[in-house]
Amino acid sequence: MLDGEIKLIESAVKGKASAFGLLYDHYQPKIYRFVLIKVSRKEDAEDITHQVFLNAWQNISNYKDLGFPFSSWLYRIAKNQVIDKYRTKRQEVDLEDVDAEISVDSGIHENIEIKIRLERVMKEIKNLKQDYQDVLIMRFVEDLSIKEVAAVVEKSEGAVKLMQHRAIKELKKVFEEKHGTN
Amino acid sequence: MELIELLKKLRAIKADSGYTKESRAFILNSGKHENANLMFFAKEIISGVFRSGWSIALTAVLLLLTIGSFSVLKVLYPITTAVVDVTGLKAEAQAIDAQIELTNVEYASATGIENKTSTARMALPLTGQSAKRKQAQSGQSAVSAESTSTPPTIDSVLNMLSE
Repeated sequence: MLDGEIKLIESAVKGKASAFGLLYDHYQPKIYRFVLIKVSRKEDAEDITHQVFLNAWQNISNYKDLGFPFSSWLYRIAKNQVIDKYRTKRQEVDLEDVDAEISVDSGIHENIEIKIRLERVMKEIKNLKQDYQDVLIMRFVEDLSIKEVAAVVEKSEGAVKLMQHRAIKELKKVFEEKHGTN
Repeated sequence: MELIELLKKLRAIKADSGYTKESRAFILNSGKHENANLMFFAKEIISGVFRSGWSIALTAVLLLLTIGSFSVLKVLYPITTAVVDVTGLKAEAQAIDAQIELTNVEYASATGIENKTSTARMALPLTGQSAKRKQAQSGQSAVSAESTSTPPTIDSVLNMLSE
């Protein structure tokens, strides 16, 4: 959580663009990562992330603090945006074609082997159920708490724990079957 | 475990800095938020008015005006209501109807005379037995007309004319 986040949100709700700008700076990388792992294509991830923050800024007056962090609200918008994108995209592009375009071009590759393995992980995550994807990304990539994840996926904390367990199990299984090791 | 370590490494993913700057500037300068704010405040004001019971008061006043308008008019303009005499109007209407009926009776009797005279005129050119039969028939009808019609003076005059 960002320092002084509550005051920043209050200012943003009142229409102060600079306050929303600070929220954008803090949360944009997280939302972008979340979206990119789910959609795999850089261009789609950029479009969706932009749309998420535009929607958030236009509807921030409707934001109500219900005890969950601001990030939960943003992740929920992102999740819905991805679903909408897939709904329209499924008619245009075959998912097999999209897989070939996975890109992790962020300068994190210490060597080529890690790059290949990361791309494989992203590809296999994409083949999981939407809820499993969300839980894995938020729990292990973004390091969100069970409570925060539960708020985003709109399920109980117990259900999230169960989903997390099943998602890891399924990912390991697929990874071993296809690549021989995890 | 190694799989989770790989997932954590995905944290290093970052968006292109050029895209980030452009997107941020566009969103913050979109200006649509001001409109959204205005709409939000307008919505709040309207809902506040409804909540404070203004609508109920307004409805009550409208109802009072509608129901009480007739009595108020009666008090304010008594002349307009006094001028209207319903019984007088009724009597006048009945009188008009009676006149129409009388003229109709006169007209009916007048047309009856004309019919009889025309048939008499048509019967004149006939000759022989048919003429006699016709005359006998008209004679019978004249007699029956004489016995049924109420004003005997007109019928008798007509009979005389036909003979």
